Amino acid sequence: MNVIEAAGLGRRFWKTWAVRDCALAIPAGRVAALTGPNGAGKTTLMHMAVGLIAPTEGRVTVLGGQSAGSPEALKRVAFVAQDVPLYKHLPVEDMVRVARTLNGGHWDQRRADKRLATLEVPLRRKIGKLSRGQQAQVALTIALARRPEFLILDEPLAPLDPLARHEFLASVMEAVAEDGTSVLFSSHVIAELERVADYLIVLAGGHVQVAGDVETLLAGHQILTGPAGAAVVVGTEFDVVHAQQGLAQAHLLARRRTAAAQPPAGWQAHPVTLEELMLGYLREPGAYALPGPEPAVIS
Amino acid sequence: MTTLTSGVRQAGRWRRPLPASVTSMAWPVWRQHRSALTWLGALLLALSATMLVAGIELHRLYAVEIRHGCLGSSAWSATCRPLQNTFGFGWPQTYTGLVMLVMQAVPVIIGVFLGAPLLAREYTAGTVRFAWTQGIGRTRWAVATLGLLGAAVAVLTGLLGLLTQWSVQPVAAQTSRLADRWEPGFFDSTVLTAATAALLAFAIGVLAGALLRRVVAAMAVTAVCTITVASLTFSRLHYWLVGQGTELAKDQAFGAAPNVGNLSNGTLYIHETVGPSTPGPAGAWLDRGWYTGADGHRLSDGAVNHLLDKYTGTGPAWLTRLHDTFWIAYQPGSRYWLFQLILAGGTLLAALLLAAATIALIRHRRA
Amino acid sequence: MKIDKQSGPADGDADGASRITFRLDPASGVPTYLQLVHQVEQALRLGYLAQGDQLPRVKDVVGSLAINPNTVLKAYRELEHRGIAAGRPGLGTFVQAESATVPLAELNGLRKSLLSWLRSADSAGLDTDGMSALFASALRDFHERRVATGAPRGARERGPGEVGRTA
Repeated sequence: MNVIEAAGLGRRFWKTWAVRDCALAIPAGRVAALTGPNGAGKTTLMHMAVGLIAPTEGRVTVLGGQSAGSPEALKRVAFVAQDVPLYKHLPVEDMVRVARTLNGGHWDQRRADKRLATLEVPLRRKIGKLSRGQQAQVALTIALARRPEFLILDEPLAPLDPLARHEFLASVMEAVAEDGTSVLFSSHVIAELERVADYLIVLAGGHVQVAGDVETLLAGHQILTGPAGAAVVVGTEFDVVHAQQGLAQAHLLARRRTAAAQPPAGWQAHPVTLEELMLGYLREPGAYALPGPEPAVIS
Repeated sequence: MTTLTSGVRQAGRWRRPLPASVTSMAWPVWRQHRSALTWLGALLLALSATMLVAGIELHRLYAVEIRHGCLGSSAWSATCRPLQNTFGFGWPQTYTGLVMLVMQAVPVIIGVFLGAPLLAREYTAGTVRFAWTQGIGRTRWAVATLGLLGAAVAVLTGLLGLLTQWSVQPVAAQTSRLADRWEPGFFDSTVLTAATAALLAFAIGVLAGALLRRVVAAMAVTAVCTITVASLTFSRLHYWLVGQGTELAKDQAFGAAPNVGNLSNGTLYIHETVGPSTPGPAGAWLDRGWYTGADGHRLSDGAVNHLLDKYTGTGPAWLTRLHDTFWIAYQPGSRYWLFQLILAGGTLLAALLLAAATIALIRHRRA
Repeated sequence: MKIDKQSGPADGDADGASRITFRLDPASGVPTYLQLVHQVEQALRLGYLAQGDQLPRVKDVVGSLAINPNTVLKAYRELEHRGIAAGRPGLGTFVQAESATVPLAELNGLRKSLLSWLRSADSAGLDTDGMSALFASALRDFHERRVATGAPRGARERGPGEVGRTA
């Protein structure tokens, strides 16, 4: 089952397309990271996935074909929006109780209580008076108490200090370990992506530029180091995504055409890091790495 | 408190098929809007306390009047005069005027301070991104929120309307001009009309909040709209409404000594309830009247003024002798509640339409 | 062989206290799962883990390290593949192999002789860096010779699967 599928998905605000011609198919059970420059359309994409806004064109479905935002999807998908929107004037326990009612029977109060106790969140304090980290943890507690099959988090770590970030990620990973929840979260911080993500989506200019399992992506790319200006030589077995040229030497981010591709003589191959992969593609807006029969396309 | 036991789990998911219902939303809606509702409650309580105190005193004075037989236009005895002066020119008049004003203001306050911020604040704070991604879904959430708060507003204002009617009733019973049950202010502050007026103002506020998505702008627009609607209803709609489907009758007694009304194009716009100084069918609302001459044609303004110059002041006989008839278009007293229902029903319908528009707007997936 | 996902009783009450915990070195360039594998092997060598001990539950590992559970599963699968651990469905992953654990007493003895070598090196005039370099070079020679002859380590036989890779 694909936990989220999109085809030709697009959303326009007035004259600008925030997301255009977007295609996605993330298998269930993954922790997927959505990354890309600011304004690339990450929040818009997530909002469409949870039914907060409707697509201008195309469609998006979740959990194996449920229409985004449908009653069935709402029950099984939990979302924490950017900047943790909770009712700031309510104390923590009232906020949790409101959330419980808004979710009918799909609620695990014991899990919520246990999490809040472990995190030592003061239950009678107003949400607005908590630290950012605690607010984020309360929002996450509410999301996890719904025992969702799919958890979507919009830039959850941005306002958090390092300890809060670690604790937040750890909580999410525990839920994944316990329930097999699929996760989609957006982030800029590559170090965090590297630790937890096993599926990567790079969104740039409203289009999906890179999508795939992290392992497959890393295995399918290499950094080829060789003489400057000779990139065409590697073209038989590799597609060059991005070239970093010095006067005498160049590093190429290259995608293998076949599993057994070997660099030509005089070239060295190094494994690529996730950061190099992402930055390479972001620097080449015309390049794509998408799962499917077609190889990387460079315009 | 729903706790799920650590029993059987299916594929790591918990399933318990109880949908979030509208009635279970009562606590969250109350808790979220507790502050605004408390302020409203405090305001209404203060108003109620004032009306209670004043009403008790007015009813006491009224009982004295009855005991001494003071009611009726000619009973100006020594005991009655001070009472009639009080009711006619003293604090009861001021009080009634203020009460009518307050009852016009309460819906506006509800619309501006409860209705307008309701959705606007959710948009500005971004909490719609929380509320509309929970299992209940945005439609049921909106219906529950608007429905429960609307019901609270209607019930509280309706009760206030009851109290208003009770507290000014002694003044109205004097048939003084201002506190007349068919009159706009009084007519709009009964339990039915006050409740529906508050609902309409609430609905206007909520729709403004949903459209504008900004608290201050929504409050300003709501204030303008509710005040406009209130003034239009007060001045034009009301008189138009009660002037529809009137009955026709001769009223020589009134025509012989017309002491109220505006003459315009041959029609005398009366807008008064029948009473000791306003003769006519018992308990009726006199909307308008006109004179006809011997030939049955309506007299023009000039002819009417000419006629009234011949007024002799001794009963209706002088009019009949001149072969002139005064016709009255009136609403029988028995139709009072019908018109209450019509106004209240129309207002309620308008409120429901606005609420439906708001919900349609919410469902439109714009967030 | 199936590695269980540690889904025991609904909510873990006491953190199933395992004898070891993991740490991560994100800058080392070594893949995370391999770091976990090496730490288990090291713990076995040093005697912190013994036959039958339970490895930390996946949930607890990700809870403290904030890494993807699949990484931990991959590490445990690799340990299974190396014959060091085995998963028991519903219970956890347990140390299985009789690996070349050096008993503590022997370790102490080795440590003593190492200290006395250090004393000799010191009196010969070698500083700390010099001692390190000398040791590293000798270790390299020893390892190369060992790999060339294929001699087994220790007196005992290896378990199933290929073991003996060092970091």
